[in-house]
Amino acid sequence: MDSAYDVPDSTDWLNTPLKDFAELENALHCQICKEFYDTPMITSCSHTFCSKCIRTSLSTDGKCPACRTADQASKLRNNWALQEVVASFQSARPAAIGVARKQQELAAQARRPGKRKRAVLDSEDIVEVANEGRQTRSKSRQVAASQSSQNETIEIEDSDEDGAFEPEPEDGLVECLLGCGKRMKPEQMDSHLDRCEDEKKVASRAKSRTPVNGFGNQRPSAGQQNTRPQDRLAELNYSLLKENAMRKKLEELGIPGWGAKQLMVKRHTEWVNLWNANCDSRHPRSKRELLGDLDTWERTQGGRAYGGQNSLATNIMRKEFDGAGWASKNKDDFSRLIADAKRKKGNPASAESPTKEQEPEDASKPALNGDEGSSPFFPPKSLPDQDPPPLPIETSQPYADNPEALASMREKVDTSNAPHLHPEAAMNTDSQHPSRPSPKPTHSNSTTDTAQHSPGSTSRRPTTSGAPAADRPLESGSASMDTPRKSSRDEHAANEHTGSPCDLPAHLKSTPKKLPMFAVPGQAVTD
Amino acid sequence: MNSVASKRLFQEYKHLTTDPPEGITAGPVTEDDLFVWEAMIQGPEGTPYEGGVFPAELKFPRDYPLMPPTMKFLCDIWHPNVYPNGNVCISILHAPGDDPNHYEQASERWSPIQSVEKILISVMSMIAEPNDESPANVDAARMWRERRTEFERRVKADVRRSLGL
Repeated sequence: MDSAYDVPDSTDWLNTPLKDFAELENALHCQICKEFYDTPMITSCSHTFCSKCIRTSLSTDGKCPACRTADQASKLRNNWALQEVVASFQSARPAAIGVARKQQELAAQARRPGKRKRAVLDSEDIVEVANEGRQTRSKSRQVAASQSSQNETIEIEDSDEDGAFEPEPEDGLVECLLGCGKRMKPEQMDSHLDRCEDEKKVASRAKSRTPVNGFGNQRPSAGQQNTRPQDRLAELNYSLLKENAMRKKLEELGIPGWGAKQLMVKRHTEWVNLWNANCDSRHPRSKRELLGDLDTWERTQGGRAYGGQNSLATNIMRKEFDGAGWASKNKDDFSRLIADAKRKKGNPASAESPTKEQEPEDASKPALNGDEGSSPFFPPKSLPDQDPPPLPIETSQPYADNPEALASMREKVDTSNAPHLHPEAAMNTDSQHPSRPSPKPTHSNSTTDTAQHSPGSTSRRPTTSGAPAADRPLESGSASMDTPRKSSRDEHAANEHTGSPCDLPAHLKSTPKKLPMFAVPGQAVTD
Repeated sequence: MNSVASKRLFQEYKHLTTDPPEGITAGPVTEDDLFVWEAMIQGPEGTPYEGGVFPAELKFPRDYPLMPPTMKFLCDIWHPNVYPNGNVCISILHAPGDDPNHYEQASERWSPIQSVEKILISVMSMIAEPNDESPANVDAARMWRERRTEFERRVKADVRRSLGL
């Protein structure tokens, strides 16, 4: 973690005599990840990005991030020249920045050549340089040979007295372009490349490659550096694939196949990008490393990301959902809602208030609820006898730790909201179901309702427990999958404490009376 | 756990720390969570906001930089493009795909090559030059358009109050 945070940045050059290098370094940074180009690829519109960055970006919106021209990942081409530049700059950087900083120190000391003092400074510089060296190495993924040359650079600097060392490990040699790790004079490169390739072929033939499980033949076995470009993975037409087919695809590729289809699509996209970026790379990594990257993705953005949409979608709907945990975690919210509801109950309601409540949308509702909000909870008919406070047993949230009971209650709510309502119950909920006219005229108390209700204003709550949840500001921020469960809980909790007309036991016996209790709190919570 | 997003955020943090643009400071609230930042923006000179310092909160999505952060002022700021609750409405913070208002050029919207620095600079220039074509705060926009002196008086009063004067 610490070393990862020791990032080389163009601002390192500022305040040194080499401050113009900041611009140079900036030019060698990918504009997406803001780090040195890693396998730079050039787009159809001639912009350059890291392979992984541009692939991820294209798979998100299919446009070049710089100019927004539509482009395809298959049209990307390596920008080898830039890669060379970046690689050589990266290997030269630690020494160069060491010099620059030393010069800066020297200038600060007003040209006083105190050797002893400078020796201390040197060692500090060296530590810094060594860190940066480590960082750049890990990023450029250079082979061992070049790493050792970098270490040499640092040692040279170490032993050097007054900054008279070369800024670059200029041994006049270049590394084999095919990544075999040998270093040679530039003029030897051509002949070496021919040989190198042949050697590789022989070596790979001799190795009698056995495909790793779940892997195609073209893929390199772990650790082996394949110089030939591997076969790139094709993007799939996800909409044509059913969930099972998708899962099969993932398993064929050797990557995890759990989760909903949406998550699998994301994971596949990520894998294709990782894989193809690796194919672009001059120093491809093993599949194991790629799987490690995929795992990181899974933990940060995928199905196991904390608070991620996918994790909510997958976790909350799972059977082992921790209902008690959820209840205790949101206890504050629940009790606040309960308090609100209780407060409202204190105000006796007038008969026409339900309509006023229904008409304004969410934003204006709370204000109205303040003075005349209780009537939706307590239909006029039941007001006289149902006002007393809730039964003690209810206040302890008897079903908080019983997901099954909650589920069954939800079911009942669903069924009770269906058209075949008991007339008495329908009366209580007519504000929720304005389209059902039959019971209304029969009740004197609800005449004002029918008069003032326009179907349009109330039809936003025509369905089951899922719908009220969407209305509530409390939950608007959370993922959609999580609302139904939470909402039923909210309603449940709010109900227990408001002493709504139907007490819970009656509810569980699935008498028609349960209905108002659940239909109503959807409003209480909006407050 | 080093996701692409946290690496890039750290990179931007370092850049902003060592070479901050004028009138702007920004950084994570705590270094444990790089996905929530606090930024301070100075009121641009020559505008009624001059002299004010406006704290704002930036929240980054997990798939940053593919998707833009959200930005919310933590203080009262009377401005046509800032919602009464503090949320900033500016095209650079709108994801590439969606155009809820149907007036923005695609080129103005978020792209992964944008950065926190560019966002904050854009917001600073937005403060200086409100865009009243798609106001987030309609009252402020109307006042800005029709009663400029009253608008400026109100903004200046807000600034003075925020400074405790």
